[in-house]
Amino acid sequence: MSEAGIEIVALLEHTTPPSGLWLDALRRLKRNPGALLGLAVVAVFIIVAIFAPLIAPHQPNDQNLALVGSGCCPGPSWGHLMGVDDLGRDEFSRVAYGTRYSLVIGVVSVAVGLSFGMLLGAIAGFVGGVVDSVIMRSMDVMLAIPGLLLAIGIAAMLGPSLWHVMIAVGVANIPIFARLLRGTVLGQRESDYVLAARSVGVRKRIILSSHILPNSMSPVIVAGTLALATAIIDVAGLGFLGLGSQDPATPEWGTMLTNADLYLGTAPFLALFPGLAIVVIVLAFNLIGDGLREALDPKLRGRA
Amino acid sequence: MSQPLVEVEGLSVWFPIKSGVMLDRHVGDVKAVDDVSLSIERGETLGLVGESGCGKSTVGRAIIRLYEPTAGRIVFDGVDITHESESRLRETRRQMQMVFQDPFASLNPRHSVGRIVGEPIQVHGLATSRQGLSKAVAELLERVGLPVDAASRYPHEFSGGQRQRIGLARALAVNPAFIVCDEPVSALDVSIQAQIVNLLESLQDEFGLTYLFIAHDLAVVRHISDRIAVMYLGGIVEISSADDLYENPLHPYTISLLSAVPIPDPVVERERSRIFLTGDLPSPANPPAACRFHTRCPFVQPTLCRDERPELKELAPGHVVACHWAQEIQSGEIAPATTSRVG
Repeated sequence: MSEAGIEIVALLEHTTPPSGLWLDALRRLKRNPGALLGLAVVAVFIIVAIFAPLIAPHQPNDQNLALVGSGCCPGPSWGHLMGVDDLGRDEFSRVAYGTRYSLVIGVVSVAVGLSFGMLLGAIAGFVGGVVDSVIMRSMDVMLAIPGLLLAIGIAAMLGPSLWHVMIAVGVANIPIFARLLRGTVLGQRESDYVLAARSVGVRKRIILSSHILPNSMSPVIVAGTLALATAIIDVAGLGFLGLGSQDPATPEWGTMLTNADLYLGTAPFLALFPGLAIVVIVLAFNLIGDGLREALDPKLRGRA
Repeated sequence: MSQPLVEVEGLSVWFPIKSGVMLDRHVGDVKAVDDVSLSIERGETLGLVGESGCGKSTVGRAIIRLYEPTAGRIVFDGVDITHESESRLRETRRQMQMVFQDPFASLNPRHSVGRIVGEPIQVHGLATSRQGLSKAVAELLERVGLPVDAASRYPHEFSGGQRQRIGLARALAVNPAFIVCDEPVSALDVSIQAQIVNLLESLQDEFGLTYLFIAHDLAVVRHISDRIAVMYLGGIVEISSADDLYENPLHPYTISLLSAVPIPDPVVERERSRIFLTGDLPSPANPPAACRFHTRCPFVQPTLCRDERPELKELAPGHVVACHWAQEIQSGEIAPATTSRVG
């Protein structure tokens, strides 16, 4: 290419605004209808969670036993969009307040798993040797136990409570993130640009934080988003098994399902609505996760 | 003659082969580099050629201490850096830099070009202010023939040749004395190769650089190098001045390598006889005993070749070769076993 050729290329390239990889990924995410739908649904859930007191027509624990006097339980009506439960509490209000729990559950569980998992994975991948062996073999031990079973064990050990269930689900997620990050860190550690940084004399700590980790984050972000969905299901499942909140007044979706199973024959909507809420939010997070996976895929980099 | 800038004595780099689940057992070594000695004078370009997997990149990387040498000594500018600690090495690294083969893998895709080129300056505290840094980066980019606004853009927006220029700008950022060019043009189009090679040469004149130029393209190496070292399976088989090597190759491996270079004249090409090497490069984990080339050597003799490892001997001034029979081959007393006409 001649000097003039370089000028022309420079001109051509200048018509697109300069951008980093993250902006590039965001642009591609915006063109993915599934991911946009997922984002919209999650946005709706977040709004509902924040403004639950304004949206819900009743307090989640306001009992109206008169409504259930003629048997459980009156179905949906204009006064109670999703019907009322066995204590005459408005199901819609409870589902709306339950959104708060589900979002917190997802974020806390993933935060626990992600922070410890990333720390262990980064150390194992970067330090290597005996440290790597010790960390990864203990992760293998944790992975050998089925995730939900491990979470049940931890939750049972800590004692039943919603917080303990979140921690348990988070801990069960640690090996997944640790393994994922270790793998990508190992791959990046030997890459040419890391060697280049070493030959320049960049300190190890800075190589890890500014070269290796930013380039290892894509799969972790995708897995984290998908883990939000499974964490919500797992916590609901543990709640259903009675390991969650011991206060039946808690409008948590999993706990609500537990209470609903007595009335499945007469009032199936009591299980239907919290169940539907779980399905929708999990689906939304999965759509975002899949969208992110495509947007962050380096093979698609630079395409529209 | 003054002291060479880089001196390598008996350098070996062995990579351990480990097996086992819990406790890694050491079951062998890949002898990527085995007993290599060479020296590079100030201001010269030493070409290092050999086929894929012969350890030429490993030599380059070991010299700038990206790999730990298993044995041997590396002396840079009179200082033994073989076992220098990471922090002491940082000072030396201002003097020696590297340009990588793959212009796509050697730049961090998440850093802007300005950050990539500016990083060495920051690491070594060569800029006092933010303005000073961006001015230095702009000058470097201009010097390697990139538009100044490249600083705010990202590597994926550039072509292979432009990326290699970015890599060069990064290497030049600390104003080094010595640059290891690890196949810097092998991944580029031929037209771009010439540009980068010319750029390397003009930078050498301007900054008085010393290069170790690693390549497998014999034409490019001859063009840029003052002296050339030929490697085979982890060891150096021949070192001589560039022209001497091409006109008067002494080692059977060099002879067969040069006979594989196509000549852009169909008449000559059809007439000349060529030496074909048979078989693959033996595994460096289990190299042939004695002369490592004896398994593929067209001149192999019943004595010595399979019994004793040949040392580098000086057959002509500045022309050393590691072959027991180099003199006899040169004089024509020994003929190759397998030659063939092309076409």
